[in-house]
Amino acid sequence: MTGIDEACWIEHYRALERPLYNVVYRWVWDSTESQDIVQEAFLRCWRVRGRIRAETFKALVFRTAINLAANHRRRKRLWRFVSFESLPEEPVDGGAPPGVWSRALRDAVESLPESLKRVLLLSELAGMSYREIAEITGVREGTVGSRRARALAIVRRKLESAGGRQQ
Amino acid sequence: MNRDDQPLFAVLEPPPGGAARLRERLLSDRSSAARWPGTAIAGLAALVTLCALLFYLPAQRGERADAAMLEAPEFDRLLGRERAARPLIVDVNEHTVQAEAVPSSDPSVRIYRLR
Repeated sequence: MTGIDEACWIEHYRALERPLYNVVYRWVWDSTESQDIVQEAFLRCWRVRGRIRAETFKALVFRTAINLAANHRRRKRLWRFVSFESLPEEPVDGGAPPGVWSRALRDAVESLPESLKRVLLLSELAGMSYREIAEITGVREGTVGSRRARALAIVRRKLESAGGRQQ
Repeated sequence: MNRDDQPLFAVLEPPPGGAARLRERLLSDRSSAARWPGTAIAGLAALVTLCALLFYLPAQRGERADAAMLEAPEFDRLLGRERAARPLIVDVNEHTVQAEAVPSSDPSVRIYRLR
């Protein structure tokens, strides 16, 4: 994407901000941090824009954002462990609509292995095809399908055992 | 793609103003990228100065201290220096007197004369 200017980059951001934000949010559970991570992903890709091909741009931005989110989450967990800080009962975020903060759903998503979680969030929140997810995660399309099915089964089972289905 | 009856997740709206913030970040990234060669050179110069202060000056001070220490008569033998003839001073009955070595026929016996 050599020669792309800032205005064009911002347009790409506008197009992908919402799906990226929704995926990242389910990793860090904080709206400000999620938006920062999405922006950081775009900033990092901007720095290497000369080496990015247009056809892999979307996959690259998603991959970068997810990696940043996963690292962020690991750092937060480590910090909580070191500082003996406990998890808040509910995510602290005043801007979210009511009902979004289902503790059961959050626990169910959090309990997923990262490989399943990536597939589930990309398919459910970014509306991506198996082929696109395979490109981002680096696995075959068939594997994407089986991982999504496993992730959904785990989440639904946990929600049922928690007694709540709604988000 | 297979979708179940009810979506699992609600779709959230990101906080407003994201694009404007990203534009600011892109601009500040560009200006910091333009600044970096100067910053790097200044940083390198500061590092070299600090190294000089940390290693050169203490080393010099240490050399001076070492030199003073090695001048002491105790190091004469170790350093193979000619011993300077020094007068032997002793205290006798609360008086300081000079002692003079007298030749002895027995090497295990040393004789001194007090002045």
